[in-house]
Amino acid sequence: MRFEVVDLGPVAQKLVLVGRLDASTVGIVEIPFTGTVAASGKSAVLDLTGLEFLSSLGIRLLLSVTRVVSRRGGKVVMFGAQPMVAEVMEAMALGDVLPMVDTEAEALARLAA
Amino acid sequence: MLELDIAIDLSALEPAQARIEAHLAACGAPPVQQLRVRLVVEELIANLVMHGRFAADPPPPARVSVQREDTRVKVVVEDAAAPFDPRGARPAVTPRSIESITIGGAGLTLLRRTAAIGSYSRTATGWNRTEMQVS
Repeated sequence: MRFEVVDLGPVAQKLVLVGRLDASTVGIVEIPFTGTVAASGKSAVLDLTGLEFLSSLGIRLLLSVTRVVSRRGGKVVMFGAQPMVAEVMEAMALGDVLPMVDTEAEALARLAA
Repeated sequence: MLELDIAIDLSALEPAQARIEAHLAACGAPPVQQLRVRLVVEELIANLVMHGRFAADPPPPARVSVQREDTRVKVVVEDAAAPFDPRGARPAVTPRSIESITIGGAGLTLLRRTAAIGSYSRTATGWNRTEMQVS
């Protein structure tokens, strides 16, 4: 599991998640991932196109990061989930707090709304 | 059928999952089904690591068997934790705001929405035995 950061300007950044976000990997990325989001003070779009697997511990990290951003007045929107990841997110019915759309353009529009 | 012991430790999950995935791939299970089985095994073992109460320290490993039957995969997990029937666990509550989220129960909610829990019983040796089917 790894993530990359792409600066999208003064109000947003893109975090590209690659690999599996699960019990075996969440402990490795939790601190740098949360720290990156918190330090920027920006809203975030999460690019899930390279995320192959997501479990409840991974969801816990995504929710934690969303809470950090929300407390600073920002938003988090996810896009591009692979079928298994989309299935997990839909099963958890988290769309109200952690919205997921198909494309990056839709995610950026959601941030601006 | 693949049978393996998985230590009650998150670090034991990945090598076990790799073996399960290789077995399912050899049986012709499609990738999405392999991922569902991965999710089911992770949620059960992670739940044991975080919430299981065991008489022994360290606890004995869980016994997991995986078998493809027609188009489904039968997963059986036996563990020495205190009695726990995952069918009766309260589902996670759908949050209305990010501040109202309590993530407790998420793993078991995912488990029950991913697998059909066919049965739960106690073995003659006092272990939990949970049988599931994954489509």
